[in-house]
Amino acid sequence: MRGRYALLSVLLLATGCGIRPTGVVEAGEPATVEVAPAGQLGTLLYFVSSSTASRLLPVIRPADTEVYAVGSGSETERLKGTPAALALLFGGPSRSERDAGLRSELPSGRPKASVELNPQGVKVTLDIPVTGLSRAARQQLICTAARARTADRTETVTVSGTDGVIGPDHCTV
Amino acid sequence: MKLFAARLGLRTRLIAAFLFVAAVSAATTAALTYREARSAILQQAQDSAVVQFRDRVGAQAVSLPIDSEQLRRVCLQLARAGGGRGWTVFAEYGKLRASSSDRSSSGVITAGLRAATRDNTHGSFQRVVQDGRPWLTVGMPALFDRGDGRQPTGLVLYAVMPLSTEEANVDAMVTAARDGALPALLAALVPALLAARSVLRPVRDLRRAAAGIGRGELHTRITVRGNDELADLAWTFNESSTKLQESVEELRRAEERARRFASDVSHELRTPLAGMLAVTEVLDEDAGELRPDTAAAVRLISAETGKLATLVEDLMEISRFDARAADLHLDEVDVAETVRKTLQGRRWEGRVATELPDGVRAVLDPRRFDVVVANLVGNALRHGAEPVTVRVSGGDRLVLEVEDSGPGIDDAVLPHIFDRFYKADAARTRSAGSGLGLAIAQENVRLHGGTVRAANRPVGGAVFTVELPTGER
Amino acid sequence: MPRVLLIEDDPSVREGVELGLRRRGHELRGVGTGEAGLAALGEFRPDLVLLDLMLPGMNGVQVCRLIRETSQLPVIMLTARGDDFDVVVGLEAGADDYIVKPARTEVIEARIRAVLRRLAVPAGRGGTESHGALTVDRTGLTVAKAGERLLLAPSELKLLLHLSASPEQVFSRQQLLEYVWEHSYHGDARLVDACVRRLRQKIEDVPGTPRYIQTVRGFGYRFGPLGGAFT
Repeated sequence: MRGRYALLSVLLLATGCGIRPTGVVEAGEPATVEVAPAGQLGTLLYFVSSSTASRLLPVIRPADTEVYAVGSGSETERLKGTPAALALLFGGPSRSERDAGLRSELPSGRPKASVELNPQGVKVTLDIPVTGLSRAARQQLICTAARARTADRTETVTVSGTDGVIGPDHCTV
Repeated sequence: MKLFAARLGLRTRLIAAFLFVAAVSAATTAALTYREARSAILQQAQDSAVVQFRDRVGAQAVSLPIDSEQLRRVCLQLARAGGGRGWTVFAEYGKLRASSSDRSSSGVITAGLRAATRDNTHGSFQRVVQDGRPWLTVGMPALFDRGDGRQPTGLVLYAVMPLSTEEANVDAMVTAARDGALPALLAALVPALLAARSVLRPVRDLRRAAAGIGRGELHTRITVRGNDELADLAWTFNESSTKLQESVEELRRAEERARRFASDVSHELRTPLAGMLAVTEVLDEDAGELRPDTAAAVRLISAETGKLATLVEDLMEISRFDARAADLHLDEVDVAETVRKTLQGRRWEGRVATELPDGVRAVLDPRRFDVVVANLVGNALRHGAEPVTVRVSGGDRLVLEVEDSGPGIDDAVLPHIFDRFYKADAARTRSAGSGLGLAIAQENVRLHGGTVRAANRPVGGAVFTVELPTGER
Repeated sequence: MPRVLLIEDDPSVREGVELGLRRRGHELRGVGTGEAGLAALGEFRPDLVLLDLMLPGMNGVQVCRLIRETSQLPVIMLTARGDDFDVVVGLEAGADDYIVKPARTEVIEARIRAVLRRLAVPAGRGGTESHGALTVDRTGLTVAKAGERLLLAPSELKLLLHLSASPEQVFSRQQLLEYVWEHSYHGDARLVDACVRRLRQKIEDVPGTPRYIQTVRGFGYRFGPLGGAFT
């Protein structure tokens, strides 16, 4: 009788188990890909997407994109550096970016922006109210400005608008 | 279980226990080995798949944002790069979806894996069994670095590959374990049998020896091997049987001495009796001329000499039975005639009624049969009462009945009626018989291979029944 | 009255038997050894020998054999029952009968008379008759084979005469014991068998396949039938 149990358990062991399912298992480093254009070329803008935890996705606009400030006068000034990046950001996602589900939570328009770098970090001044911006919109601003001004998106950024100041804060991407 | 154990022999139980242990060992070993080997196989497959997938993805270049065409191209390139792995690649970017197959999304990839891959900056994998088929799903987020640390591109890639090769390997391992375990069990049977044999051989020897003792082969001994408990038992057995043999031999010698003594005494008595018996006639004839006292004494001596001669003769006869020196001289006779001659020879024809059918023939020793009939009839005439009837019937067995019309035999006496010198009444009054008549009759019947028994008739009186085989012996 | 030679080593038995038989009118000579007995044969001229089987020196069987070599003197052995082997050997040696000791004188005398008694001649069957090569003279009590006279012991002669008087009739051994030896019906059938064997040695051409005295299995013996060859 005992022998029969033993045989039974052997048979169960032998036949009852093949490959079993598992839970989700962490498996090391992510993959790192090359992003065109190579090097430091191009302007990184951050738009909102629902497909990542940080809710922000970077896009790279070609370096030769021409951006012009919309002045009060007839003189049109070609923007460079951070203001240009911010102008592109406020310009919203392009068609292909929208196709991928990217959007902006910033108000559309062409606010006037000035940027200066001081020991406390990057200081951005806009001529629009900023305290009503959503968290994602603030991050769009901060990440894009930090990246554009210092090539380091983690730099501290303070944004002051017509109704107050945001930050200092960091990009969380 | 107790009943189960009691019904099976020691050998079966020993072998079963042995096999049980062997089976448990084999099963445990097989199970542990199997588990280790299985996880090793899968580990290896998973790790290499993850590493390879990460490398392949790392070799890709994308532009942000990624459009659906580029997404599709990445999938196809990765699927090709997978080579022999046979994985299917799925990609997600924002709300775009693409795959290397014609379906843009996989049913195998779980929501858990997708969440883990999208929300973390590390690779993940998951084994999924769907419809009985095992799959390995690997999720890999694609990051990029612009000198300020890695950040997600938003591109997430999944590889889905069947684990059929691994499954086959695992199955092969199970088969091997099973195929190995059964021969191992069979092989375990050999030492089991040997062990059982080594334990059971002394037991069997002991049983055989005990049976030998039971048959009266008192010289039976067991060879003592080793010094375990069974050897102790064998030693004790030998000791006991030696003692038993000594006792029995002593008893036999004593009995032999007693018999020889009786035989020797009768022999020695016979020679003087031969002289005395020859002259009793002289005493009887001349007693009348003597003084009355002397005459009475002389007649007493004469009479007692005759009885003494009968007694000695009976003792001699019994001694021969005891010494197994009694021979059968068989002859085929007519039973009725034989019985009639016995009665005539003793002059009992007038006192005994007979029922002797003609034509009953039997092979027997006439002299011994004569003694049987004479002793039974003589006993009936002496201790029972007339009429005495002798009845014979044939058939498969010859049946002889001697009935008397006396008071019958006391129930207390009946079991001892054929004992030597057994007297029915305690006073031991002497009668004409030697006290050996019925014992001699019984011995003679036994010598013929027959039986004799005594009983009381319902109507009163005793009946002695002799049954003898009639054919050749 | 017959003259009896008693060869018996035990003095008391010898004396008792002598006493008993003398009172019945027998002339008796008692001797203690076989040698003395053989010596007394010529001088005492007994009609019968009573011979104890257990003798010092020459034993009873040897004495019996020596007597049979020269004479047809009736010999009765004295024996203790149980000495079965001796009885058989004694009968083979030619003794006519045996008596088991102890025995009453009347028993001994009855045996002596029986051995000495001549068989009654059947009416009208006197004289000589021939059976094959055998010539039986019932009056002269002689038997010749092919003209040559045979030396037959008394029991052998009586058995032959009895059987040949009724050729082809079967006699059981019990009947022969009663008729020839005058024993009880239940007597010792070995007497008959031993006597038949001795007789066959003397009269048969091939004792193993007897013509004259034939065995009828399960019943006994008969004389003949002889078949055609010698009649």
